[in-house]
Amino acid sequence: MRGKPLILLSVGLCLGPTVIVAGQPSLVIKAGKIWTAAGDAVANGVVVVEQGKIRAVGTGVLAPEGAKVLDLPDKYVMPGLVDAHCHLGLSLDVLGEMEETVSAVTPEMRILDAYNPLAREVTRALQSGVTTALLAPGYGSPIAGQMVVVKLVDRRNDASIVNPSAGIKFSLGAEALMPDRRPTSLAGLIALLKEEMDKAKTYDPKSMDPRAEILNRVVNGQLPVHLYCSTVDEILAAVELIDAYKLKAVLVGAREADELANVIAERGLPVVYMPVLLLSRDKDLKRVGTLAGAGGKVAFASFGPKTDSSDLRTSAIVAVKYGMARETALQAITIHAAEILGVAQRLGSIEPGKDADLVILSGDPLELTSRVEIVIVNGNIVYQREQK
Amino acid sequence: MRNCALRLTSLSLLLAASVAYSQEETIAIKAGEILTISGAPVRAGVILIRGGKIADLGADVVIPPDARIMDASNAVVMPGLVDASAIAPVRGDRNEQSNEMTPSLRISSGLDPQSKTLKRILQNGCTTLCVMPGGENLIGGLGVVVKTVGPLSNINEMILKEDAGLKIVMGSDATVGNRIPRQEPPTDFYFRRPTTTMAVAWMLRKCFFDAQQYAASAREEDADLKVIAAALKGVIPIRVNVRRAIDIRTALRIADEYRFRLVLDECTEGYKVADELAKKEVPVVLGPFYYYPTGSSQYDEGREVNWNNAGLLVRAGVKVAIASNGQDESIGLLTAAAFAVRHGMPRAEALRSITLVPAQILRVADRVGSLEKGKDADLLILSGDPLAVTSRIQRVILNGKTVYQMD
Repeated sequence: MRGKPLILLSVGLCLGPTVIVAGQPSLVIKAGKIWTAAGDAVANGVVVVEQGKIRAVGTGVLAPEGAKVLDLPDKYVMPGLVDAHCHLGLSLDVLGEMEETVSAVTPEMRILDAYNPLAREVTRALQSGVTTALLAPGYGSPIAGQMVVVKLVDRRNDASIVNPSAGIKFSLGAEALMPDRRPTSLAGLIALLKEEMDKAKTYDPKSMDPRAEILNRVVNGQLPVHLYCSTVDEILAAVELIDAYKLKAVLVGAREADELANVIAERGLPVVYMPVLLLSRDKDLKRVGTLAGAGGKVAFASFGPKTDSSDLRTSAIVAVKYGMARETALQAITIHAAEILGVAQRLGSIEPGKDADLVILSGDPLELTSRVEIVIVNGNIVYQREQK
Repeated sequence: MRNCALRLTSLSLLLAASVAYSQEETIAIKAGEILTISGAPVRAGVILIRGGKIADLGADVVIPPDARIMDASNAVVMPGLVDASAIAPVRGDRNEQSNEMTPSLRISSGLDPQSKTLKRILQNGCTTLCVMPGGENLIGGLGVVVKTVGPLSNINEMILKEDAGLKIVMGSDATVGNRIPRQEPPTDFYFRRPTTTMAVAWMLRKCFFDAQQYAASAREEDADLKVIAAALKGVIPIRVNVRRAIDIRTALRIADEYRFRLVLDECTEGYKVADELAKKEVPVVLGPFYYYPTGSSQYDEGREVNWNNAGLLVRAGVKVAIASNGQDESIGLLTAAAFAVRHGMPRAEALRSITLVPAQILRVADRVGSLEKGKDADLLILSGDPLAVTSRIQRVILNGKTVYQMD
């Protein structure tokens, strides 16, 4: 799919005059409201889907003859949700499967090898409207392994890959420190990471060391690094590394990111914020509201199965309650998440040429009472809520 | 060295034996029905056995005057069963646990010809079995194909084929025994990779990569890498024990990356990927059928059992063998095949799955697996339909000799 050119049409976003769309659209969705994540929401609009791609969106787009029409005047359409950090589809005891903690540095581990697209929680995530997710190794290894961005569909575990080079996961959290293995302290952890990256800088391709080869791509800025860090000291340590090695970096977790707003803003660092439901204190919940002011783009994540995938939308809702702008909160689970994961050219918003990944809700997505009614991926209806 | 000396002795014994055979009598079995497996069944036929081999068989075979006649005119005759994955007869641990990868370990060195289980296996009609190393190491070692009864004094005469398969384990079995820090202090050799599915994939890739490098260079002798390199070239069949569909796919992907052919063992969720297996012509050795731990067991990977796994795989065009895999030995392969038929496997395929197909997978089909002229005279005489629960095995003949007879 990646090699296929996008269907570029002059039709574009049609507001106003009636335009007849050429070709054979496979699906036409008429909805009460369409939030595209690319401009103002469209009331009483139409989305035309053809060959798995969005062909047109707007008002007054005429449904061509022969197309399947979903007429949903009281429903709300938005782009498929993007979970910016989770661990879905890892069967077995989750703690045992997420990372290879026998050694602290395991860049060679690939989460894709452990991902089971047939797992129940993957289907459940899809039913919550999450169509794309970043799968990452866990928190217990300073260099945990390679991540991947997948669509949560397709019955083959390698057919649904959107971004195979999503990056490497580093963990600077307390979880990565163990009493009986190096490192046992944050300072020791940073020293270890620096050692590894210094080694990787002078990597000789002839030595055929796949671990050094991967880290070499990291220090050359070819491969992004997602650094898990939670508290102020951990975030500062992460920033130290990012500055020292000019890393293409994303902060993950970042509970106290609001306290370092200027540090993050200066560098324009994107933040994948932890699941809001894991925050218990009111003090922490208030941080979420001020987060967007921290500088870089913000995305939310479920860390699933640590929280349920349906809580991805809940994170956005709670953030709005504590002061985040509505638009920003919705972007954090769609287009901004897609941009941070490097997949925004294909998904994250409803725009002509992008993948037809759509969620149809019973009402405003930022209302707790709104339900996911229909989920569409690549133009196919993959979930439809049973009417009871 | 011990093996070497034994082999020389056995060679001379074999020579002596073949001389003895040539003067031996001819046995003629008059059978009510002969299930040849390789061809159509023969009604009221005769099988001639000479020198431990099948000399002739068919409906119109002339019985030589000097032949000893064995009357089975009310009985069904079929080939001795072939179990492509068995644990007996090895006493104690079949895993060398001090290391995660023991490719050059030969399970044949641990064979116990006096094993009591051998007799039980024989009573269940199994005349050939492939003994594989245990499933706790990522790479367990080399299996061996044996006849269930040789002259008990000599192991080497039991052995039909050495280095018959390289045992690789993917999925939880390779990881559960290994410990991770934080839970216990690292005081023993069980603190090692792999503890996750990710590491299983990585370690296999690394090992295959190293073996290819080894094969391409003239490095000093390395017994383990030599075995892996031979397996990658196809000299030794690669047997991957795998249960979940996800692990099956990972196995297929790695096989594509390193361009080797493989046989999948156990393959509980094979039905989910039947088309892919058929397309890639990957044979499977199913079983055990009667042992599915469920609940919170550490071995329970959340796999989904379909009782018609065998039938669905066959329908898709996959070559299916049914084996005991150690667990069903007391129940017997005939019962396992009957179970598969009950849930949807065609009868003819079920009979093939415990005879000719496993023989082909083990690369010993020139000797065993069907009743054909020139093949070993390994056969079962049954009181009725082999798949009927009321039928009994009346007699087992191995290399032309009666090795079991019903009381």
